[in-house]
Amino acid sequence: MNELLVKSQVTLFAHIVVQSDNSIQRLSEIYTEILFTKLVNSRVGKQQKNELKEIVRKHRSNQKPIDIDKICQDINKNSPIHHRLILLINLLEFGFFAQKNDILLTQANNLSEQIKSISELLRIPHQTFSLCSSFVSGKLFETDDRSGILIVKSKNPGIRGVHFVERGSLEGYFIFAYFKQTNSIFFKYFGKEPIQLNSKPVHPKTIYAFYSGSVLTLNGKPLLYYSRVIGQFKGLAEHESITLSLKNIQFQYSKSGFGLHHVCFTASSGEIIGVMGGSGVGKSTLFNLVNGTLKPLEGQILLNGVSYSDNLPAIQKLIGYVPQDDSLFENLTVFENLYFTARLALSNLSPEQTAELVNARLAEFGLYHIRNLRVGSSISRNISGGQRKRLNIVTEIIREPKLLLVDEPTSGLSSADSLRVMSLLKEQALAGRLVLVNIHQPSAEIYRLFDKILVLDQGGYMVFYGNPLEALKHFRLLAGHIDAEEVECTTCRNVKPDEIFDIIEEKQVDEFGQITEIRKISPVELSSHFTPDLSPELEHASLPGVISKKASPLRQLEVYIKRLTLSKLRDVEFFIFAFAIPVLLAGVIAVFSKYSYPSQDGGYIYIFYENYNIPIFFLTSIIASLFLGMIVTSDSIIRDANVNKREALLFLSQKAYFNSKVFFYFGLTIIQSFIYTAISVYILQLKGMFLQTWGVMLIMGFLGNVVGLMVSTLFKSLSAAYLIVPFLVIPQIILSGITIPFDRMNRHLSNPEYVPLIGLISPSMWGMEALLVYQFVNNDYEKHFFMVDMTESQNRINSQYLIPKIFQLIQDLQKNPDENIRLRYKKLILHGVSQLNIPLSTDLLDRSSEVRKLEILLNELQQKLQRQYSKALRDRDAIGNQLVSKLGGYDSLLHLKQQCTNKGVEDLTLSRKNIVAIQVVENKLVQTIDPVFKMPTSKWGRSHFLAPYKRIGNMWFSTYTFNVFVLGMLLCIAYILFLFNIFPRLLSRLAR
Amino acid sequence: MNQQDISAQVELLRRIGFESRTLLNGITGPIHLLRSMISDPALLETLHILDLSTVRFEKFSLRSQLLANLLNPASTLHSETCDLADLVNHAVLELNDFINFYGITISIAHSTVSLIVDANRDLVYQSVMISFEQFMGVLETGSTINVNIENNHIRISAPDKGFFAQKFEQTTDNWSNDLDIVLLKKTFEKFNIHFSINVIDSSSILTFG
Repeated sequence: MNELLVKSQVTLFAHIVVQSDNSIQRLSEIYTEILFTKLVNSRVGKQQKNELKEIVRKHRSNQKPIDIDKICQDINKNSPIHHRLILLINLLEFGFFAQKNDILLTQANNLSEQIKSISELLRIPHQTFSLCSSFVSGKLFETDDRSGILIVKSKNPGIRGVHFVERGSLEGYFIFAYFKQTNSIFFKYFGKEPIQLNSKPVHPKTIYAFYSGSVLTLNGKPLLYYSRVIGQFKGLAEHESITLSLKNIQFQYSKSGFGLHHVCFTASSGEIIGVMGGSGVGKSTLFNLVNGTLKPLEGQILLNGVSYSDNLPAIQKLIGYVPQDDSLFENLTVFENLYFTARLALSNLSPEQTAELVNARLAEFGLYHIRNLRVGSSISRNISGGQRKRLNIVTEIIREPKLLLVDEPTSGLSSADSLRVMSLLKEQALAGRLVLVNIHQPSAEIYRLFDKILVLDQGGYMVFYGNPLEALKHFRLLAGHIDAEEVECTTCRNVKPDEIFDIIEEKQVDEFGQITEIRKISPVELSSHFTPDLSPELEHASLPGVISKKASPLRQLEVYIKRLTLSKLRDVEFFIFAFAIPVLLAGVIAVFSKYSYPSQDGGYIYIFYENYNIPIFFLTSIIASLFLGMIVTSDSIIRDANVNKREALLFLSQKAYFNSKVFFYFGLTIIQSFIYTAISVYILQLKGMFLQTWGVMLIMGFLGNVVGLMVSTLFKSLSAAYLIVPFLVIPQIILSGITIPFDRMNRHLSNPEYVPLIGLISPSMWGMEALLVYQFVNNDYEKHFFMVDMTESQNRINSQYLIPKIFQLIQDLQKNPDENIRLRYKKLILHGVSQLNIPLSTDLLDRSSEVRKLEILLNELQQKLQRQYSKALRDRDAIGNQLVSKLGGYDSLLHLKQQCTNKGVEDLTLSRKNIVAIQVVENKLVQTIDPVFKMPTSKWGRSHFLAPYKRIGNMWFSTYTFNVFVLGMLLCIAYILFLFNIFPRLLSRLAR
Repeated sequence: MNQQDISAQVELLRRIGFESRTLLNGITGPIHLLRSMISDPALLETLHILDLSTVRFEKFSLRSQLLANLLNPASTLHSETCDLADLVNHAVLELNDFINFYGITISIAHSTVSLIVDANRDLVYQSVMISFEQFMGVLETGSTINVNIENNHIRISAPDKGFFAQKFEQTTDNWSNDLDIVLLKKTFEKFNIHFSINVIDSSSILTFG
């Protein structure tokens, strides 16, 4: 009782006295002394009696009434309803005391009217007043609603409507009164047995508050716990309540050897259990066992008699888990954080109903006034640590779990916040849940809130499970304290939970009196001093129904997308990164690549043709798209780790969650790649291929997104994810086909005719080839000449390089008698003539007549190809002339060429660096120039790098179309690998 | 008894109640205070005995006042519906200390049946208490008082060799010698609650309802 309450109480007594006659004054003086002697001590009792006398004297001499309204207003402003209830009980007890002692019942009735009016001023509901009045007067028969009354006796008195708890050892009896509005319990004992409340004697017919964690003992043995009483009042129906039993649980981590030993306990709905112990004693392991994440090596975990091993998914639906770390979305408001969880977990509610429920829950947890504030990071502190923790808890509670596991809820909180959070958890227990709280070192007030505590010692040994005050007694007895029973201060009810750990950790002293590092009592010995109560088997093993109904996968997808979009759009840093980086990258890459040619007048002029950097721009753009796509997603799932851990027990669709990421980041990539392409194409004046460039960037970005998401599922730490991104991107530069040409690659990796396999799995190769070939083939200038250029190139190469090379090989074959060398020549000749579509077999080359025939055939073919070559040149000139006349002059045609074709692209697509047109590689004659004019021979889509077309069977596709299709296929494969979580599964299988 | 005599009786009862309460004021306050101060089990046991006597004294004082009120023709008594079966259960609970003190067992054949009467609840409750107290006063340790609800009546019986019934017969000027019994009779009469006392096989039987 604080000073305000004491003063108010005495003034209220004085008010009644001033309104009454002298006989009441005498009685009130006696009662005041009794009250404060009982509450504090006899000195305070006397002091308050004198205070009362003084107030009464003052007001009687002034003939001035006491301003009761103001006193009650002050009380209402400063005191919670529980304290007001205590004031009322004292007033009623005083009234009852006076009524019994006052001869004039009429005056006493007047007294009760006065108390009633004070009760109204204190805003105490009528129903509460009525129960309070009956409880204090002892006339329980006057109360019609007896749901707030509990009798504890050896035998049921059979009084209608009251709760009853049987205690066979009891001669007397208890009457408990429960006030729902304040969650307060008071009791009176009738009898002569040596009852103790938290080790303090209980006097008969005296009213006591029965606080959380309290225990009543008879002859030193526990008689009644708070949890039993509140459970009875809460009327937890059997089908709704749960009982968690851990039977002789053994667990050990294979690597570290840490674990738990012989853990045995039973806890039921309505209880809040504190799991206490130092660091590394196995508190979190115990939680992981209880939430089903870990499986015990030995022993059984049961919920309502149903074994975890029999029906874990059904059990896990009843469990709520609040991890120690925040599992909130920093950029969402308090309301949104809870609302989205509710939408996922409670599909049976409409959006309006969900919002109503969320608001109600926020109000219940004291968060309604900050509902529109963004949660922020733990550093930014938009909301306080206590508020964050409460939001974390309510986010889990919204789906009504029966068993709530809360890991270190007070960690990093102020004492006031800690108490508030723990009080809310206590309320959850009172609401019928079983709450397990992992806590390191609770304060005295928090310690008292627990119905039971479980103490774990080093090595995972359970050294106590039971009532918190009994725990203190147990350890004090073990330590040989002479006053082991004095577990709490007799006046302030303070307890010292730290004492438990002091005793556990107490060290031995050596012969010189120095404290050693050896513990006085080892964990094993300590655990041997405690024998857990083994609960009887439940007759009917059945699980209670699950209240929450998770949303359909489609609804989940919708909620996930909304949640992610809101969260990301409000993230300023992300927003800047996502939209400014493409602008900057486009600017930097395009500006740096924009080579201006020195003009005749001494200045510089930008001519697209002369910008040799276009291929580099393509490559850089592809790599930038991949990188950007990957980097924005590589942390995405890791950042949600805490939320995912919490939501794991909701059994939501992982595919819906993954798809929401895909949808969002693909949407972002569309915008990013559009911005990038638009800016860079504009700066570099890349004409006629905006859509094609954007298309490639888009797919590269998508691929980057999916690969980044895969990375995010593989790694737990952000730094690892960020570090792996360059490792994945850099090979794409090498495998693009232009930094290290495939024909100059390590010979073990390269292929003389086709793009090597390593190149085929490289998206950058497909992208680069698509862009380079498209730029070369489809630009506004070359598109007029491409077919004729290709004819010209093929005829030229075949007639001027390939056929002469075959002739040379035939001569060499005829000169050389060595069979091995001859065989190689034959193979080369065969490969050469096969390119000219001349059928030939190796055997024929051994016959001089057949060789001669071949020479004649080749001569004729050469002449024919020469003619076709000349025709192609003439055709080209004709097309050129047509264009000149169409465009209005040669300069215009030149201008078109300069604006549309590019020297850098031409150098690559025509392989101008290669001097030799036909090169002998192994047993093949390989064309090394003009790859863009060379038709691939494979019917399976394979080709040399920068081929103009690709072939599947008898169908021909433009390289751009084919490559974009292949990129799409690669994207699909990556998406499937991501969606089905293939790599993490494989890794975990490998780890096992 | 004429009106004047009744008035005198009422006044006498009121005065007895008042004076006894004045005496009690000096006893109950310090007893409460002592309870808060002492922890010695021996002293607490003594205090409990003292408390039991005080409770009896308080009852005497209270019942004197109630009887005075009941007899006073000028006083208006508040009537309401009350369940006799419920009051029996409450009374037995409140008498727990005395039940233990006398070593008596009260066996109630529990029934969901309610026995509703229109009466003053305080007076009827005290009357029910008196019924049990009177039985306990004449029974030997270890005896059992049986309570049954049958035919819309409450039947309290105990093997008391008829002593309980005899108490009702001891009268002076048609008034019982015991103030409690007078209160019981007058209450039941006042509110038209039928009651009868019989002796069968050495057991007194009180039936009311």
